[in-house]
Formats: sequence, C-alpha cells, structure tokens
Amino acid sequence: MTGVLFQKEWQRNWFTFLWLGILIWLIVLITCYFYNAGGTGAGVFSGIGMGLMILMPISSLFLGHALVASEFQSKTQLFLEGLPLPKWRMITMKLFLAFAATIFYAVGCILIGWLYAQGSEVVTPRFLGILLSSACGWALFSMGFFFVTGFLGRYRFLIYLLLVLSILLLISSSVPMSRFPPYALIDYSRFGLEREIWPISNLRFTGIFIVGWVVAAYILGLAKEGSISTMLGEKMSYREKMFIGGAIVIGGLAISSVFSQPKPEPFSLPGAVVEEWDGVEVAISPEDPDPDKPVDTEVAIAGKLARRLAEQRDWLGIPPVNFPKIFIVEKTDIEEKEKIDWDESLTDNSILMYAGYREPEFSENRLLSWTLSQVMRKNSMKRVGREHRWWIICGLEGLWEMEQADPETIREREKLAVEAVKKHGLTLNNLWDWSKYQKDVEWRSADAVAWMGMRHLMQSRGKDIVQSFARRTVTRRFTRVDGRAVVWDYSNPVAPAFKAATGITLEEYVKQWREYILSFESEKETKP
Amino acid sequence: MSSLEKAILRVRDLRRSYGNFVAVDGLNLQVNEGEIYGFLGVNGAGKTTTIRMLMGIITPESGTIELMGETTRRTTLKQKQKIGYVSQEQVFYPWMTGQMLGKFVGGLYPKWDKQEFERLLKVLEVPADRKTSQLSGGMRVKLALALALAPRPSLLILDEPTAGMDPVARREFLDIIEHQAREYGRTTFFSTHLLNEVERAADKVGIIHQGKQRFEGDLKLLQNRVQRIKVRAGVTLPAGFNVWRVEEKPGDVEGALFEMVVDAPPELWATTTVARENLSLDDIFIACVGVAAKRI
Repeated sequence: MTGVLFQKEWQRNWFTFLWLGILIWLIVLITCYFYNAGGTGAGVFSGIGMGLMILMPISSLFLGHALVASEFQSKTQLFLEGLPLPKWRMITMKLFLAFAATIFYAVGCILIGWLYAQGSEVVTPRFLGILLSSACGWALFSMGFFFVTGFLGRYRFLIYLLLVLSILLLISSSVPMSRFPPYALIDYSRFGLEREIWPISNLRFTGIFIVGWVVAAYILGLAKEGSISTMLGEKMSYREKMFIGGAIVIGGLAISSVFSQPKPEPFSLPGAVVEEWDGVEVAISPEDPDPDKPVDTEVAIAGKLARRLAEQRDWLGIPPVNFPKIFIVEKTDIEEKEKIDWDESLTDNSILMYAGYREPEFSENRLLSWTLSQVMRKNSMKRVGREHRWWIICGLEGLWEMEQADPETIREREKLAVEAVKKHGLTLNNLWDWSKYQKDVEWRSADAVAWMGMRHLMQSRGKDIVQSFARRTVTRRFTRVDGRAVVWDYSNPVAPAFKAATGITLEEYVKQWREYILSFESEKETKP
Repeated sequence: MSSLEKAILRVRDLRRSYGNFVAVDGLNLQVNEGEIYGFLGVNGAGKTTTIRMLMGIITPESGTIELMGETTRRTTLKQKQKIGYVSQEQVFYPWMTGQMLGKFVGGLYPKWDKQEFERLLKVLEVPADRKTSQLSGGMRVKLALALALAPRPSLLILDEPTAGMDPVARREFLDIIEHQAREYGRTTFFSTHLLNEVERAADKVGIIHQGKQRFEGDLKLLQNRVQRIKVRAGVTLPAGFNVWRVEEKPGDVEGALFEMVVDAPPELWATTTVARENLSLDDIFIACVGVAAKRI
C-alpha cells in the first residue's frame, strides 16, 4: 500500500519536485558564483543563508499546493476515500515526501556552498553540521507551515496575506527578529558565520513548531472524517469572496496606516551651536549648555566640520539631500582614548556623535572621519558595516583622519600596520572576515592596515580611482527599511567593483598592499 | 426471507445527521448473496449518506453494519477490500491512464485480478492507454466499474452510477450489472432514483424517503401489496390496511367516494370486497414518498 501511494505521489508530482530543485540549486549556484568571484568563503554561506531564507518558504508554498491543496481542489480525495486506503496513511505519505524534498533541497544548497568554499575556506565537520542543522530546521519549519495551510483550501490565501502583512509590520518595527527561532536559525548575521556553537535552543524551539504543524496537519486532514479539509478545498462562495475581499482591504488599510504613521520628531539639541555649509548642518552642544558661557570652541569645530563634511560629501558623490544632519554632544567621560563615540538609536535622518572635544587626545580629523563613516552606515541601512565592506570604510576613515596628521602620528600608524601584517599577515580572506581580523590584530592596528591599503591605492593609482571605488561600494543610500539594501549589497560584490574601478583584481592588489606595508619595516622615514 | 438466504449486508437502526438535519434515521436493510438490491429514493432522500456509511467514509451515529458476517459500527479496511464501489461522481486523477489507475488501485486490494481488469476494459471498450481526462462521462463510469469488479468483490456497491448517462449508455451499463449478477452471482447494491432501472434489474427493492425506510421487499410483492382503492365515506378499513396516500377527498359528504393508495398484505386483499386497482411502480413510488401533484 505504501509503495503504490509513493508511486502515485511521485508520478503526480515528480515534475514539481524536479523544477523546484533545479531552480533552487541554480539560484544558489549563481549566488555562490558571485561570492566566489569576490573571493569570499564565509560570504558563500551567507549568500546561501539568504537564499534559503527566501527559497525554502517559496518552494514549500509550491509543494504544499501540489501535495495537499490540489488534491482537495480537484476533489480526487473523493476517489481515494472510496478505496481501502486509510486517510492517515495518505497524509503521512504526503508529509514524508514534502519533508524529504525540502530537506533534499536544503542539503543540496549547503553542499553546493561547501564545494564552492573549497580552497577558500576551511569547512570543518562541526561548521558543516551547524549549517546543515540550521538549514534543515528552517526548511522543515517552512514546509510544515505550508503543508498545514494546504489543508485550509481557499482560506490559505487569507493566511498568506496575514503572514505578509505581519512580516511587513515586523520589518517596520524594531523587533529583533534575529533573536527568535526559527528565523534565528537562518538570520544572515549568524548563518555561515557561526562555526562553533550549535544552535541547540533554536533547533529545539523550531522542532516544537514543526511538531505543531504536523499535529495540525493530521487534525485538519482527519477531523470529521476529513470533511473539514474537503469543505475548505471547495471554491469560494460569493459571501466568502466578499469576506476575504473585505479582509484584504482592511488589512491593506491597517498596514498603510502603520507605514504612514507620522515620522518620529526630528532630533533636536536645544542650546546647540549650529553651523551650516553648502547644505551640511552641524549642531554642537556643550555638556552643560549655559547661555553665559562662550561657545567659541563649538563654533570653530562646527564650522570647520561642516565645511569639510560638505567637501567629502561631494567627493563621495552623496547628493546633499541625502546627507543627514550632524549633532555633536560634548561628553567628557568617554573611556576610549579617541574620546569619540556615537549613538545608533536615532531613527530620523540625523547622526548623533559624542565627543570630548576639549580633551587633549581629541582630534577633529578623527571626528570628521568617524562621522563620515556613520553617515555611510546610516545611508546604507548598516550594510557597509558588514564585514566584506567594512575594511573599505576603515581605509577611508584613515585617509580622512591622516590627511593633516603630523609625521610622528603617521609613523606610529604605519608601525601598527607593519606589526599587524608581520604577525598575522594580510590575505583576501582577512578582508572578508574583517571583524575577526580586527579581533586578531586589535582594531586600531586593523584600521592602520586598511588605511595603508587605501593610501597605497591613492598613491599608486590616483585619488580618482579611490573615489570611483568608494562610490561603487559604500556610498549608496537607501531610505526605506526593506530588502532593497540587502539585495543591492548582494548583487554588487566588492571584488568585481574593485576590478572595475582599478583595473586589477583585489587578490592581486592585496599582495601589493601587503608588500607595501612590509616595505615600511626597514624604513625609518615615512614615505612621501 | 428464506432461512437459506445468506445475508451479505445487514444494516440495523442506522442513523446519521448533519447538524439538525437527520439524513438517515433508523434505517434497516438486508442484501442477500447473489441479489441485486435497488435502493430507491428521490434526490436528498439519504441514499448517498447510507452508502457513504456502508463504505466507511463516514461513521454512523448509531446502528450497526453487518458485512459478510462481521458486525461493526464503521466498515473496516478489510471489509472495504471485499467491496467494489462506484461512486456517484467519477473524479479520477486526470493525468492517469486507465492502466495506471488499475496499477494504483490494484495495489490496495489483496485479491486484485489484473487479467480480469484488462479483460473488463476490453469488454467495456475503455481505452486503457488514454488519460482519464480524455474519457467521456460514460467511459469513466465503465472504468470505475472495471476498477470495482477487478478485485472480485463479494459485494458491489453502486451509488447512482447511471446518473448523467444517455439512455443507450444506461441500458448498456445495466446489462453489464445484470450479467455480472446472473453470470457470476455478484451481489449488487445500487442506489437510484429511476424506477425503470429498479424495475428492470433489481430482485429486491428498498425505498428510502427523508432518511427513513418506507419499504423493503421484492417488486412483485410490492405491486401485490400496494393498490388503489375507492371506498365510501364512513366505511371502516379492515385491520392491517395501511393508507399511504389519499388521492381524492370529495369533502364531508355522506356516501362520497374516497380514492386512496393502501398497503396491505396480499392475503388480506382476499378478505375484502373493496374495489381495487393495480398500480404502476411509478404510482406506488409516488404514493410511497408522498409527493403531492402540483399544477402550474
């Protein structure tokens, strides 16, 4: 009996299984190609994670329709129920095929990534196990959900609509989705990067969800002799169409009202000194604003910063309208020796920096460079903060910071870079794994390495080449919290952008860059 | 019923309702081995609900079903494997051919006879290699019949199989049923709302109306029992006479003639002098289900 059921389902759905598999793997292959072209190891799996996050629910939607919904829609279950065939067996076979297919797809994706990562990344059995368990957990969760909704017949569309609306609401809210399973399993900040810690807790919660879906599927399929799923599988009546139409309209209005909610009040700094230059507005407020105290320092810093920010804004090619307002608040208790900090919680179009600008260690150049990097982070929805682009920001920061630095400071910085490269080397993989490199060599040294890379590029190829590279990789602005920033990020890998801007491969350049840094080992004097 | 007759199917006090609507209410019936049982009723009388209970598709609220000597509340998988079933609507997988369908259904029956299935397809002129979506309605019923007969079932249950068929196809189909019953002693239980089908093929008839059984027995007995009589007002009918329907009621006039359809055991008819008239099966059925004549 099991054999004929399997054969029947296979004969009916083999084409769906096949084209879904081909499509998923093809998309994953293309993703890997782009990331491998960028020379990234971790990036391959990050790309696959993104792919799985989107492709698994889509494939589950199709499988749920093919295996469950279409059976009830075409009323073929009427034929089946006249046969000596228990309904539970029919559901079990469908469930088995759905889960097997989706696991097959997920495992295939990981194996493709593994093959692509050969030679560029060490894939330990543990890492592979973490990837496989996370991918399969997510895949089974998606399949379970769409399998159950297949039993809801025509009402599943209402569920899907509610799901889409809920996702939009969650995206627009500040709910940290990455913390909650099963999404946590596939979250791009973790998937492909976590090599050591098994996601036990997330898998456990996901398992509970999956069991829940399976139980719900059996309940829906068997309750009242399956008459519920049969009834739901029928076409919509006029009244139902009206009801669902109404629900869509109300849902649409609800979501549009959420999106059209008044934007948060612009951040303001009462008592601040405001200077404006060519559209760049900088407001500086002392720690304890006092109308009787002189504000000469604030005026000087704000004026100079506004002017230099406007220059760099134009150099980076950021349109003036896209440049946020800059607020600087004096803060004397910053522990870091740079005496600069920033706030990431502002939601409107502004940047809030903290600076101990009366402290001797304070540097205006550093404030300028760090402010610019925050501008680019904000504009890109933090995408430039991702590892594969962060070294560019660090390098540019260095250029701006060291532009007017004294030779002593420059020599100190060069020394840091030399020591870092001597001790830890510098490879293409370090660029893709920049956070780890920062941890290994200490972030100031990593910044020094990045700065020297950018400086060498400027000295050897010209400032225009650096500008072209920066404009291609880190200056894009996104105004909405949706998937566009992510899509742009993944569809514009750094390595091809570097090649397009400079004419040489990034891999080749990293070799030159390393040699350039090491050449300072024997030199006492700073190179011109 | 003769004590020698072996019951293949016996139903006792079967009841099933949907919400407040009672679809089948205390139904009793018996189908003996080798018999063709015509289950007659108007649309919505409860025929399909009864058959769905017999097939174990739905569970009765109360009552018992005795199938091939085994009494259950709900028909078991093993019992189902001994039943050939043709449903009212033939919904096959459109991408399957007759042959594929035979392979699939055959895997569910332990006594599936592949040769018999192929023979039946040939005899019934159903192209085995054509997709079911390309078969006509009549062909599909024949395919369903082949699928139902190939496991050599002890009982064949047909739920209004000829509904939607043209007269030629219907006759052909009934010929096959009759042939199967007479030639192979195949016990057949079929529901219909068409009297001529019952009249032609059935050995025994059960009439169901509004979920309740109105009659069960052979057709000749039915025609002998149910007759139209004319009696004068004030005449008392003998005990055992059961009035099914009063057709003419001239009013409260002394000596006026009443025309009515009455059910009585044949032996009682001999004891009365009341003028009577034999009825067609149509008239008997209409009287049985109590449908009033409508004039537009």
